[in-house]
Amino acid sequence: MDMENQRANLEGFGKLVLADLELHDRVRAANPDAFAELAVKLGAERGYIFTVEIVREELQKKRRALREKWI
Amino acid sequence: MVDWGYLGTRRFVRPFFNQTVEDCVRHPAGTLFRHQTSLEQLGEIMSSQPSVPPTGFIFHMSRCGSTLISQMLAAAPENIVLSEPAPLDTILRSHFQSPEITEEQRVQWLQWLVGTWAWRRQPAEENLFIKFDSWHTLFLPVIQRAFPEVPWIFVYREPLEVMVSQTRRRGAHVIPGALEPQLFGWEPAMIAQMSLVEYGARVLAKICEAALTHIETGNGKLVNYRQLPDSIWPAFMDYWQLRFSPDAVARMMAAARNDARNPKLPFQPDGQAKIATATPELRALTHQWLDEIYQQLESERRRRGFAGQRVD
Repeated sequence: MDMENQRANLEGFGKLVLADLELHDRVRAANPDAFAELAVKLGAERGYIFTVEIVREELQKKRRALREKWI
Repeated sequence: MVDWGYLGTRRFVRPFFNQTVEDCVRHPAGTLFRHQTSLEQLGEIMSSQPSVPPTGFIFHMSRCGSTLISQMLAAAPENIVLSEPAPLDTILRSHFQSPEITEEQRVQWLQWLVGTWAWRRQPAEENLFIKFDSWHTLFLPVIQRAFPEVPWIFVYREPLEVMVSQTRRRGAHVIPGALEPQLFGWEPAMIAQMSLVEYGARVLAKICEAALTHIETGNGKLVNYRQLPDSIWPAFMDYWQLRFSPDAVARMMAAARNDARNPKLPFQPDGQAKIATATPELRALTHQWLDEIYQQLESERRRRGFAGQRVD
């Protein structure tokens, strides 16, 4: 599956997390070091396919954007 | 655009608002999965849950004990305490970047934003305090339009102690170019003529002048750093009409024994040490731009400040 589709799937999974408090609490409770793997697993269970690499790439982008906002 | 983060039941107990935000987004889920809404939706969102009305505001000239006050208040679970929340600054200064933004819009947005931060997330929460950034003293008119009934204090200190502190670690407001010159009624060309130290002194003077102007017309009182914390705390409680349990009072007074900016360290008085290191240039510029306004603040404080509060 290409990167664009995976990013779209991660975004779709993210919307699900924001709409489902139980799912949200599960991902929030994850050990940060194991978060990417858990997100991939929970996403796949719900039909959203993406890789650990895509999760880490998106995290890096968003962290950079947050840092720039605070400068 | 409004960026949302998940706080859960986390209280604002860190010295500064941004530290609590950073704690929340440090977890990957907090970074990756966040809601975003428009500012226009904020009013409706705010109204969806009950809010604690604002109890008191803290304005200050910087490096003068304001964080001590906010940390003491934050020690009591009844208090929601927002310490220099950056989104307030974004709203207050929004018209400088976008002149079409009206004062009415800024007033509305302030009310919505504060109302949302004031959602009661813990049953004990009854009071809301906001410690503003020091330059927000110049925005007192629009803040008072948004919240006309909220009693406020302005905290200040012997100016040479503040200037030495700013020389060691400069706040954004004393760095030329960080804030719009029109905030102070200056043209950009004027700033280019000022040395770094002079700029800082004149910014602090503008902040103090704004406080002095609005003390007479607004709902405020002056507090000298030297009055903090023990002798004046009961007066604050009366001023803001607060009643706390003995346990909450004990927690607040215990917080005063910590360094307000780094609570893991004990508080160390440093006023005399600061004055001893002041250079001749710093002393001259402080005298030129700040000594007179400081005396005016002291005179006004003795006239209309908290009754019976000694300043050594």
